[in-house]
Amino acid sequence: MSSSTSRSSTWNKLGDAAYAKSEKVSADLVALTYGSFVREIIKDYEEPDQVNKELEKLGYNIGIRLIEDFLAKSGVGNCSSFEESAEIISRVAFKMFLGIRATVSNWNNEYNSCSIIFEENPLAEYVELPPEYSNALLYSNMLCGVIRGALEMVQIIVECEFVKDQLRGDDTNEIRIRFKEILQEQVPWNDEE
Amino acid sequence: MTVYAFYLFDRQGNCLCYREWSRPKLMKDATQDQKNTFGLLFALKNFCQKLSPTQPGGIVKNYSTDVYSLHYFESLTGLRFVLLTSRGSGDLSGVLRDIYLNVYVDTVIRNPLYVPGKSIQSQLFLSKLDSSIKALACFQDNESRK
Repeated sequence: MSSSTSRSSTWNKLGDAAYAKSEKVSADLVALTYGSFVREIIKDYEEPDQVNKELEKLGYNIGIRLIEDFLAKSGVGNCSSFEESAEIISRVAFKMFLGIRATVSNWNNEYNSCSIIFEENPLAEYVELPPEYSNALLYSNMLCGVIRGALEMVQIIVECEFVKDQLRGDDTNEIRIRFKEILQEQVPWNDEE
Repeated sequence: MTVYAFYLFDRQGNCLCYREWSRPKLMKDATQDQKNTFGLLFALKNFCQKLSPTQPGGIVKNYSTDVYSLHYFESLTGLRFVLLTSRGSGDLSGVLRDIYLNVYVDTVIRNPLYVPGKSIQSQLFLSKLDSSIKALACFQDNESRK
């Protein structure tokens, strides 16, 4: 157990260092930009389920690029297990990109499913959901897409979804990540060439 | 000592960037050359991992023949950076890593107009790449060798 707590503190330090190195933008700007972004998507798609899917897709497109930035700026190397990947996402990546500390918990028995829990959500600052959306809309669903996209670029396939959202009245924010598989290196060319 | 060429491949084998500074041997077909190089890298990596005496396998950094050296760096996301130089330039895989971290991430990844998988058109990337390579101690302009 002591080795895992010392590793956690290493990752915390990595996260803090990466956060200190990155250029900062105003949190208000991020919150307001994301908010108007979600408003536009709601205008286009209307149904909360569709909006959620669209947010996740947009997050995915961000994630596939974000991973390179993350690897470059944080200096983390290969992960030896899915546990390590989850810890790095919550301790290093969340800190580096959102400035918040997140923790991993609720591992299932096979150690392939866990929750990332965070108390503050900079995207949801100043946000109140109107009653028709407050149960169905996953406002910060983009984060799930980012995680899925980023992990896919390093050959890890996961499913990600929000299970608790402070905007819906829950006490904290919780994203559930389920590990699906590791993509093996595939031969990218046709055999006849 | 000189730097001959630079290749950048993505995970699917697409050549995202090819630059040459001095390539004395005339290449007949650029696409075929790029495919061959990618195939070489793929096989080289597999070979090295199979022959490695320690478990994790190890990564290829460079290989040398009596005429040239090939330096290699692969990111965790499967991007492959290749530099062809003459002998005597030392190990430049660290240089390739710096190009990945400083040039590629800043000018390509952060460019909203860039589509992953397509070849890199960004002039900023190409000029920064050129200046990083020209700043290497082992780079000598083709003209001065003549």
